[in-house]
Amino acid sequence: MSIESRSAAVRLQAVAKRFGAVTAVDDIDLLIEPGTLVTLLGPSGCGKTTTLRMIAGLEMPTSGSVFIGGKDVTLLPPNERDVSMVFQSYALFPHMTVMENVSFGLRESNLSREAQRAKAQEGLALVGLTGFDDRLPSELSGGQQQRVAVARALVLEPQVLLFDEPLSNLDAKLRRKMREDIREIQLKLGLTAVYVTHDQEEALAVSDKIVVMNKGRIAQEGTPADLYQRPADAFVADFIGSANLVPGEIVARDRKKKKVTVGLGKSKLVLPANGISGDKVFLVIRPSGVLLDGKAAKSDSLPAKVARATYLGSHWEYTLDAAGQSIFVIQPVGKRFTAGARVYMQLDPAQLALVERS
Amino acid sequence: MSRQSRHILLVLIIAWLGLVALPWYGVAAGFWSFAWLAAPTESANASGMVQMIAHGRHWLWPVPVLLALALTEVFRSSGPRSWVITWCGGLALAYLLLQGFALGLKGWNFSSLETLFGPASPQIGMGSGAFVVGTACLLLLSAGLALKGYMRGDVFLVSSIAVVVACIGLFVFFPVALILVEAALTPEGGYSLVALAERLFSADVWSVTWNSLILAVAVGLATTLLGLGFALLHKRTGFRAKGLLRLLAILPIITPPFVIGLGIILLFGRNGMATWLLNEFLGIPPSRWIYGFFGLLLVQTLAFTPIAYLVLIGVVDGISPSMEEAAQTLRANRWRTFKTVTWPLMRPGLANAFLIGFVESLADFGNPLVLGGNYDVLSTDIFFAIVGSQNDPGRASALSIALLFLTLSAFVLQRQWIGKKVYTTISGKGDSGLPAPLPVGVKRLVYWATMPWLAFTILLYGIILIGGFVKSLGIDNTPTLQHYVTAFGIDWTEHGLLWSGRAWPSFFTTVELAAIAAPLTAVIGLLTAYLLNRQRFIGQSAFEFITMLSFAIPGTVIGVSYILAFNVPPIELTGTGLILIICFVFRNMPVSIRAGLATMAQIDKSLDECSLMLRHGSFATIRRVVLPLLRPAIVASLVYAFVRAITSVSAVIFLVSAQYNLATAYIVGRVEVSDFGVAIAYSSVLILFMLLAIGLIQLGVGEQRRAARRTAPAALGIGRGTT
Repeated sequence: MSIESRSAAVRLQAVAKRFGAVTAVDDIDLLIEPGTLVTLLGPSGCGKTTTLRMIAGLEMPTSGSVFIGGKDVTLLPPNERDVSMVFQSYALFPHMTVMENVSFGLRESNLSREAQRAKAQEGLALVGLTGFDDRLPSELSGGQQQRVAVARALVLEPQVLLFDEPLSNLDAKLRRKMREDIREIQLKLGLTAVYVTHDQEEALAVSDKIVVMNKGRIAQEGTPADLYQRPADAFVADFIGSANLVPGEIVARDRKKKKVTVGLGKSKLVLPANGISGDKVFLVIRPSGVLLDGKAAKSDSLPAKVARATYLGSHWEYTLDAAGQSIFVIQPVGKRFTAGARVYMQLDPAQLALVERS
Repeated sequence: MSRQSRHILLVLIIAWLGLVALPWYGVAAGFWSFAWLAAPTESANASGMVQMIAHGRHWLWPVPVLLALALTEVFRSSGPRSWVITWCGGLALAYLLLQGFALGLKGWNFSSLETLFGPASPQIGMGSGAFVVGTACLLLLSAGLALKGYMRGDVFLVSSIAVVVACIGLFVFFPVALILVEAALTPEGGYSLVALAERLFSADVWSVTWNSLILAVAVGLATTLLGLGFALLHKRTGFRAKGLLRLLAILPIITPPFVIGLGIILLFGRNGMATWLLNEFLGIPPSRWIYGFFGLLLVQTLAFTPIAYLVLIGVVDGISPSMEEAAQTLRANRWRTFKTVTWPLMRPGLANAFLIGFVESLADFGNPLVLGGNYDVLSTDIFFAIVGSQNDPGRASALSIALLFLTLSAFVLQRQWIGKKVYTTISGKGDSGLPAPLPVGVKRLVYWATMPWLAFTILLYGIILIGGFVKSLGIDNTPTLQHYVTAFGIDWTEHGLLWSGRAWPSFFTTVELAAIAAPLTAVIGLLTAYLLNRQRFIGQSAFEFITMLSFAIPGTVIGVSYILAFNVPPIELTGTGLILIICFVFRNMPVSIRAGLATMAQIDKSLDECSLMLRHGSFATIRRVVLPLLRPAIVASLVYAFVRAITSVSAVIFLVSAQYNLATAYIVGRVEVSDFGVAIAYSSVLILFMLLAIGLIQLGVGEQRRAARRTAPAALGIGRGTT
C-alpha cells in the first residue's frame, strides 16, 4: 500500500463571490496545471482564502464555475469533490488519536479496516511521524500537529491538495523547515497543490507559480522570478520583496531597442520598456540592488545622506535620504556609514524595474 | 438512481404509507393504541385513502394527486426536477394545513366558505396518518429545495432547518399568536379591534400590570444587590465555605418554585413558628402580613438571588485582575480602583442580572399562587381567568398580552442594549494576577448583607425538610412519618407490591414524561444550536431571533396559548400526555440551545469543515465530530431539561388532566387545601430525587473521554428558564 497521486488541473472560470454588498472575489479566471504548486498570495482581505475555499467547496461561488480534472464541481459539496485541505489551525480532532485523525477521511471509503490503518501508517511515515499513532493531538508539538494535518490530507490521495496558511502558527525556524518538507512531498508525489499565504518569502520559496491577489482580483501571476523582476504594477512590486518606489518620468523612448530613458531628478537611467505606455512611472529599487560608496565614482551615481544605520549581524540596513525621498537599502558587512554621512548610490540595472504610476 | 432520488423515493413511500395504512384522524384511545386495527375501515379509524373513497371526504383528494405527481417525477430518466418536487411538497403541506383549519368539528369553520362550497362533513383532529403525511410533505419540500442547491445541496441540513422551523412555528408561534386573536373575541363570537382595545385598556388589567411591574422591579433590584454580594463574597474575599455557595447555586434549579413560599408560610404564616415566637415573647399578634407584596418580595428574592449570583459570578470573574493591578500601579488606592475600574466594568453585567430577576419575578407563578393573598399579579390572574369561575379566555388573553409585552421588552432591552455593552476582558492570552481585595468598607457590607441571608436560606430549607416529619409544624410538633406514608406508602399485599401512596401516580407520570421530554429537548435544542452556530442560510437572523424570543415567553402564557390552540382540530392534544411532553420540550429548549451555543463557540469551526473535506457528509460530521465534542452540553441539556420538566408549574398547570397529573400540580392542589404536611414531604422527595437524577445522568453520559483540556463551562444553571 502506498500513497499515490492522481493530480488533476483546477480551473476557475469567471468566478466571483459576494457577501452581501462586499465583493470578496471579483470575476477571476485561473488555471492551475496538474502537478504544480501554485500560491495565492496577497494581503489579508484580498480574497485568496475565499478563492481557496471555493475550490474546496466550503463556499459557493456567487457566479462562475469551478472545474477539477475537467469536471464541473461548482455545485458539489466538499465531501463529494476529490480535494483535501490542510487548515490554518490544523483542525485536528481533539477527541481522536493521531491514528484516528489520519484515518478519519478513509472511514467513509470502501477500504477494509486493515487497509485504512496501513494507509494511515504510510501517511504518517511520509511526514516522519511513525510511532505516534496513539498520541492525542494535545500531546504533540505545533510542528508535529502540522505534520499530522498534512498526513491526514495526503492519505486520501486527492486530485488537489489545498493549504490554507498552513505555517502561520509556527515559529520562524520551524516554518522554514516545514515549508521545505511540504515542497519536497509535493514534488515527490507530483501533487497539484494550491497554497494560500500572506508571506511573500514563503511564496517565493515553495511555488512553481505565484498568483498575487489584491482587492478580489488577480494583480499578476507568474513564476517567482517573473514577479520579482518584472512586477506588473506598484502593488506587486511593493508586495513581492520589499521595494523602494521612486517616482520618475519617462523622458525618451527607443522603440527599436524597447528601451526607455527615465529622468530621476538630475540623473537619467536607460531601462527596458516593459510595455509601459504612460509617462509617469515608479522606479522600483530593490534594497539589495544598491551599492553605497563614500565618494562619487561614476556619472550615474546618485548622492544621498544616511538617515539611520542598523547593524543586523549578517548585514547593515540603511535608511537614506535622497532628494527628499526615503530609500531603504541593505549592504554587506564591511563598509560602514554612520548616520548623517554623505554617500553615493550606485544602482544595479538588473535589480531595477519600472511600473506605471497612476 | 441518484442518492437524492433514492431519498425522495423513501420520503414518498413513507407518505403513501401514512395515507393508506394509518388512521387519518385522531383515534380516541390515543396515538400509541392500536385498537383501530380491529376495524380499520370504520369512519373513525379509516386511513386517508379510505376516508376519501368510502366516507365522502373528497376534499382530501389534492394530497394523493400531488404525491402521485411527485412519484412519477422520481422515475424520470433524467432525474427529478427540483421545482416539481418543491411545489408538490409545498402545496400538499399547505393544502393539508388549510383544510385542517377550514373544516372543523361542525363542518366549515367559516360560514363564507360554506356558502361557496356547500356543506361538508365535519372532521376531528388529525391523527397519526395525517401527521406522517404532513411530515413527509415537509421533507419532500426540503428535498426539493436541496435539489435546487440550498445549503450546498445538503438534504440533511435543509430538512433539519425545515423541521425546526416547523416545530417552533407550530408549538411556539402559532399558539402565542392565537392569544392575540382570542383577545379580540367579542361576546357574540366575532372578532373586533374594539374588543381588543377595550380589554387591553381596562382599568382592571392595568392595575394588575402595575402590581406585577412594581414587584418585578423590586425583586430585580433586591436579587441583583444580593447576588452581587454573594459573587463578591465568593470571588473577592477569603470566605471559607465556598462549597456552601455552590450548593446555594444549584438549589433553585432543583427546587419546585413554590417550595420557598411554603417554607415562608411555615415560618411567618398565622400558625408559623416565627409568628408564634413573636407573639409569645414580643406580644406581636399573628397577622396575615406575609400574604401580599412583602411576602412575595421576600420569597422571590430568596428564590431568584442564586440566579443573579450565577450571572454575576461570571461578571466578577470576567474582570481581569491585571486591569485592577494596572489601576493600582497608576497610584489608585483600593477604593479608587473599585470605583473607577471594577465597578464600571461590572455595570452592564449588573443591568443584565437585574433584567433576569425582573423577568423571573414576572414569570413566577408558584409563589404568587401560594403567597399572593390580595396582591394580584399577572401570572396568577391569567390562571384564575381560565380555570376559575370566570372562565374568560378573552381576559386571560389580554392579561397574557400585558405579561408578554413586559417580558419581551426586557428581553429586547437585554439583547439590543446590554448585549452590546458587555465588556469582554477575557482574551486568549493567559491573564495571571491576583484579584484586588475589596476595600474594607465594601467587604464589611458584603458580609453583613449576605451572611444573614445565607442563614435564612439554610433555615428555610431545614424547615422544609423537617416539616415533613412532624404532624403540623408550628401547631403540633409531634414527630410522625404520617405524611410520607400518605404520599409514598408501599403496601405488600397478596397481589404483590401495591403503590398505595397518593403521590405515586403523579410521581410516576412526572418522571416518565420528563424522561421522554429530556432527550427530545436536548436533540432539538442542540440541533438548533448547530444550525445557528455552524450554518449560514437565508432568513437565519430571523430564525435566531424567533428561537431566542421563546426564552422570554412566560410559562403561564404558554399554558394559556396551548389551551387555546390545541383544544380544537386540526391539532387536538389537550388531556393527553403528549401535550405535556411538547410543552416541556419547547419550554426548556432555549436552555439546551444556550448550552449548545456556548459549547460550540469553543469548538473551532474548521473542525467541521475539515471533516467535510475528509469526505464526511454533514450528518456523519455531526455524529463523529460535533457530538463527541458537545458532550458537556449534552449532559447540561439533559439534566436541565429533566429537572425543569419536573419542577415546572406555570405552563403545565393548565395542561394536566386526571389521567396525566404532575407532581407539582398535585402539590399545588395540596397547598390550596392547606395540607402542608404532604406537600412538604412530596417537595422534599422531589428535591432529593432530582439530586440523585443529576448525579446519575452525569455518570451515565460520562465525562468527556479524553480531550479533557477542552473544557466547556457546564451550562447548568446559567440558563434563565422561567418557572
